[in-house]
Amino acid sequence: MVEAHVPYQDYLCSAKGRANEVVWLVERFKSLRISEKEKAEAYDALKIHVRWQFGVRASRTTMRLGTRKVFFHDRPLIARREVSLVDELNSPRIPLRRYLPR
Amino acid sequence: MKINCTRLLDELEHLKRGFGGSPRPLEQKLRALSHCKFDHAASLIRFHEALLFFRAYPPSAEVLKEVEAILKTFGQRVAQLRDADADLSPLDDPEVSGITATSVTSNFSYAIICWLAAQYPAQLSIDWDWFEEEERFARPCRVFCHARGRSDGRSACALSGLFVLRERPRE
Repeated sequence: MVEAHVPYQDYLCSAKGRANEVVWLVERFKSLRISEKEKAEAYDALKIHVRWQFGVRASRTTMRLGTRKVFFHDRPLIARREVSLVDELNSPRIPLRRYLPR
Repeated sequence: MKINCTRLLDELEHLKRGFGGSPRPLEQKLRALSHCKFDHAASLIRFHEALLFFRAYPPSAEVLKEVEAILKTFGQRVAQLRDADADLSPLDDPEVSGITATSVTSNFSYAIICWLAAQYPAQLSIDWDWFEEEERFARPCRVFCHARGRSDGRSACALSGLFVLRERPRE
């Protein structure tokens, strides 16, 4: 049966109660016992545009990783002629630290 | 915006290419610009991006302190633009989005929306203005849903299928 002009927006508003509409919808998808790929396909098919009204801390304006030591760039940029590939390759290795995905 | 604010902004951007000199001119520019009011989103964006550059590559502690103090005023600056009915649409450009007191609207992927819903549940809403085809809801209904027909006070939703999502039997 196909019914035209089904008021899904009204349904959503009614069904979500006092919950946030996006969070509520996401929870419905997450509760499905299907693969993550299928959930993603079903959600993406909706092509819902979501507005994220981010707070101050999540904005680029104030987002910043804390650091103990700030690097102050108080010297001219290095000119190309000052870079020696031989010296760089013979210099101590740059320490690497592996970060695991959260 | 007064004409000297435009000139100051030009000079601030020029100083981005001037590493190695005295930070004094930059500090003076920042102090002067802190008193400027920008009445166009484009100018505010330029100011914001220049400040972020100097926050990332500060030549002195004084510059860093001044930059961070100005950045804290951006919520108020955006609000002033909004109150003045200025065109804020340039702030939505993905290249510059993320300025405080603004928002981002996009059809985020499922993975991203799950992350956002977990991290910022109170900051999300559906932009129904973009949603031209409500019937799109019908597709996931057809694919995944079987109405339960339960009567739980949400009869309209029980009929819609989508909102009484049930797991599809494994094949």
